[in-house]
Amino acid sequence: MSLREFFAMGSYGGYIWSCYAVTILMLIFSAWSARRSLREQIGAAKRRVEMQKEGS
Amino acid sequence: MWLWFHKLSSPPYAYQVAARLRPWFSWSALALMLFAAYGGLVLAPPDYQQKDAFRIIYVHAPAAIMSLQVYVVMAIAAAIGVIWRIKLAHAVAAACAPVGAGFTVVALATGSIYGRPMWGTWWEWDPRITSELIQLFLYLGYMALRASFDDTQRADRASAILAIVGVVNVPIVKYSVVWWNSLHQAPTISKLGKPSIELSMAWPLYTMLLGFMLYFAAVLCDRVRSEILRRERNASWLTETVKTS
Amino acid sequence: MQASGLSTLVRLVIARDLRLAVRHWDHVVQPLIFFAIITTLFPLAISPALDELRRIAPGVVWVAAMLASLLALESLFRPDVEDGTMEQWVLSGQPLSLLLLAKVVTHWLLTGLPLVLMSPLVGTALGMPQSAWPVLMATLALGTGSLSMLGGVGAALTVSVRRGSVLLALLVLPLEMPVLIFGARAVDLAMHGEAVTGPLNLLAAVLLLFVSLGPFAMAAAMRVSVES
Repeated sequence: MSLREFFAMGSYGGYIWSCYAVTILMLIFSAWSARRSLREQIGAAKRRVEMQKEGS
Repeated sequence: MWLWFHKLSSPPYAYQVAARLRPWFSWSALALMLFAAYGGLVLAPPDYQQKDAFRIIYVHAPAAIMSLQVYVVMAIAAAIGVIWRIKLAHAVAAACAPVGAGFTVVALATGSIYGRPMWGTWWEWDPRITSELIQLFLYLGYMALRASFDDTQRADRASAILAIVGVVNVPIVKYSVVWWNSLHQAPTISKLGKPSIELSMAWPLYTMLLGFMLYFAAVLCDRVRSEILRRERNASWLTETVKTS
Repeated sequence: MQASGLSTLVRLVIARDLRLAVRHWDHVVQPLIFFAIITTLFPLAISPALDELRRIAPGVVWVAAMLASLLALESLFRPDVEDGTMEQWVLSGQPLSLLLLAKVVTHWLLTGLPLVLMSPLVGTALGMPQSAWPVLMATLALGTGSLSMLGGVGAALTVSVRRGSVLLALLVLPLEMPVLIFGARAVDLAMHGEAVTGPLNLLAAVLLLFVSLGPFAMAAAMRVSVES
């Protein structure tokens, strides 16, 4: 089986690859947004600690 | 075992556990998903009826299963939070919703793309797709309700009630949609049915499902950690943890 | 608390709400006008031909009834929460679920029942045959009861939220879909002269489930909303 045949998927390639693309995009986005909000919360907590230090 | 659960429900401990477990979950999820995709796209033989188009099912079906499962996890966490007043359970419930909604969107989008070569239309009011759409509305409603409260504790309890009411209603919705559909049209879904799936076609499906579950666990770890940080803003243990991390 | 005391309490709640409804009769009439207006939109949007309208009449009447009952929820708890009555109920130590159930039943008498009584009129305007009237009214009677219970839970959850009515629709409508399916299908079957016991039984079962579980969810939701 050639690579081109593999990507064509017997003329269903467009459907199949767009499905996998949608899935991968969602998986990446969901993981990324969770990471980002965690980073934000850690950053905010760190800033609070800094402020406490300066205050004391 | 019980003691461990008790320990886990304390935010500092849960925070550490989630941080330690996450890499294990995410790497094993990635490995399983890649393996399943290889199995589904390359190793599995083309279906005799749907040809290569059935390969969509390797992402569609696990996403659809997860969309329901995440909702059940969310409702159970919410119920635990309400009954035993465990704050961490509420944090888990809050963390579930966006991930579950993501899986639902994938199930809908891939289902729609799947429908194009199978049924000749992008959208079919098929019972599974319809109840998937209602599932998405439930997630969106849950998140909207949570967002409408400023106070976290009230948001927790209000959205928990909604999640529990929703989970009681989900079987009724599923049943009614199937029944509604069977009265309206000839069962077009038989094309989507699985007539005695072969092992070479089935294992990537279950592997992908397992991969999705581990992925969910990994994302949940991150989300629960940020929920804990947001909720325990002023706790003294937090300053210690933050300094070292 | 004695049983007789409780039943007096429930009777007092119902009597009070009925009296209030007489004073604020516009709250009762508005959903009905809304019901009529929505059904008027369909002939204008689709076609004035009764043959065509007849086909979609069950669905139209049911969707209109659903939206009207949604609109009516606005007046279910909000006045009591705003004037502080609800807070006293929550603090009174009386079984809140029972009090709220009494309120929902009264509310249904004031908003659900008129919809049921008005539905043959609206159905006829859409070309529904007289033979379908009893089933239409029966499904709406059972169905609007379920809608009131589910809507009550949603209203209790959103009553303290600013501009909560859109949120309420977002929460409640997906949960109400089974009622719509069973109700509209039963009317459709009746119009074709087929047996309707199946969907009617299902509607009754759903109503029973919601009436038995709804009050507890409502009470829990109200506690969250009222305490501040």
